[in-house]
Amino acid sequence: MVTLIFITILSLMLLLMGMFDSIIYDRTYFQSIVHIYPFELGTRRTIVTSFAVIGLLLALYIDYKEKKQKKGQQSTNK
Amino acid sequence: MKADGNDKISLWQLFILITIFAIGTAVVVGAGEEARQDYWIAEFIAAIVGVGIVLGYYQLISFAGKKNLYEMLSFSFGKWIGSAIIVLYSLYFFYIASRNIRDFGELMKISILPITPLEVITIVMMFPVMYTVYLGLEVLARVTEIVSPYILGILVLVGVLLFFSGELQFTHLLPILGDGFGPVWEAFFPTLLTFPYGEVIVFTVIMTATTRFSHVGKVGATAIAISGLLITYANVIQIAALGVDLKVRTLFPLMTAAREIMLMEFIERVDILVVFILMTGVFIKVSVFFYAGLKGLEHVFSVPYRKFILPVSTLIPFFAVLNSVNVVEHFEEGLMIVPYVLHLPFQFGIPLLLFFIIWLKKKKKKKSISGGVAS
Repeated sequence: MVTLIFITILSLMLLLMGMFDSIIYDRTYFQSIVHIYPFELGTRRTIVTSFAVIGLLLALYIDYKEKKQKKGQQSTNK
Repeated sequence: MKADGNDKISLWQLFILITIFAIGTAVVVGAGEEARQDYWIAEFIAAIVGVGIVLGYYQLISFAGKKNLYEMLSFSFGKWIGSAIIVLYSLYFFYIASRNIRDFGELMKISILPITPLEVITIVMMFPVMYTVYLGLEVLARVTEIVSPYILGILVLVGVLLFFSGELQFTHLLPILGDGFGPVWEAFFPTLLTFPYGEVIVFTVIMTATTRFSHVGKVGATAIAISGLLITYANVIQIAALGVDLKVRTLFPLMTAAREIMLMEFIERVDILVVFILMTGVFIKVSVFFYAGLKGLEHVFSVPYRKFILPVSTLIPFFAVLNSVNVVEHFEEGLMIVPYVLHLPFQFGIPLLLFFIIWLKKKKKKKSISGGVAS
């Protein structure tokens, strides 16, 4: 569930920013979405991208831990 | 300290939270080029309207039977549409939080950390926010109580020091309404109406967490009135110290004005105090927005917000940087587009619609009860 929340926020926010860029730069919405994140290794954006990737990994870990906990609870109930 | 989920705050804490929240970035960030020397008048009118806005939000919550914003949305629009709108509200709060973090990063780069990358500043700023929000609303309110005397004191002090430095020339404020009321209206709507007063919509999530709800309206209105007066005061000293031309060209006019302070050839470089105001103001604003956004997700996904606070907080600096290529685009987006696309619908459109739907539902319920009694 945590990963789902993370991905939902990430994708909706990207769509929102694409909309703003399309208004500012007078581009089509699709063009803005494509241009919104010019990822190049070694640039400063890598710093925040790495931080967000850590967030994604954390979300996956939290979900995994929860699933494991639930399974453990189910087996003890049996 | 353990996060125990106790999210109740006192009326005084709510008062301080709203006051500092409204002052937050508004005193430091420059806006309202349209009104020029009459900008303070536009700000004063916005403050009066702001009092009406906060009372309106209080009335909405009271009308809905002390339901917070998310409960009202679920009640009015049903489970699915309500949840979709709640997610949009969370997104809106996260977006504003990322914008505030960017404001802070830009100021830090200009003032005290010119070599440090913006990305690092935004990430570092997010850590205390994350920790405070994890500990809960009560802790956030207590932190605000601690920092508020400094913020208010510094704001007043900057004006006093500028006055004794002989930098304040009140002739810069003249002519009053020289171009009529038109420029004042242009500055007022929608920029000043929505920032910071309309942003108080975020407190519709928090207001119900107070110990004595019946006094929330008065407390909120007083807080907005005081912060409105302080923002007007800050604008008067900015215009009087810098003059209109320099004020509209500066990104952070209060800081530029504070740089003019030189008293007894000893007290100078007080601009660091303005950085302190923005730093603490942004910290509190971002925390409030972030908390409200997380609460929305908690409401929709039925997962305690502390579970996903870590992953989601990594997205705020990411979007603060991705938001715009440079500071000019950041301000253009914030002052020209965001008020129309986001602020007006989320601060006024949806709450008005909510009011109407709740009124209709209540009317329908009343009719059915009276019909039942008659039959």
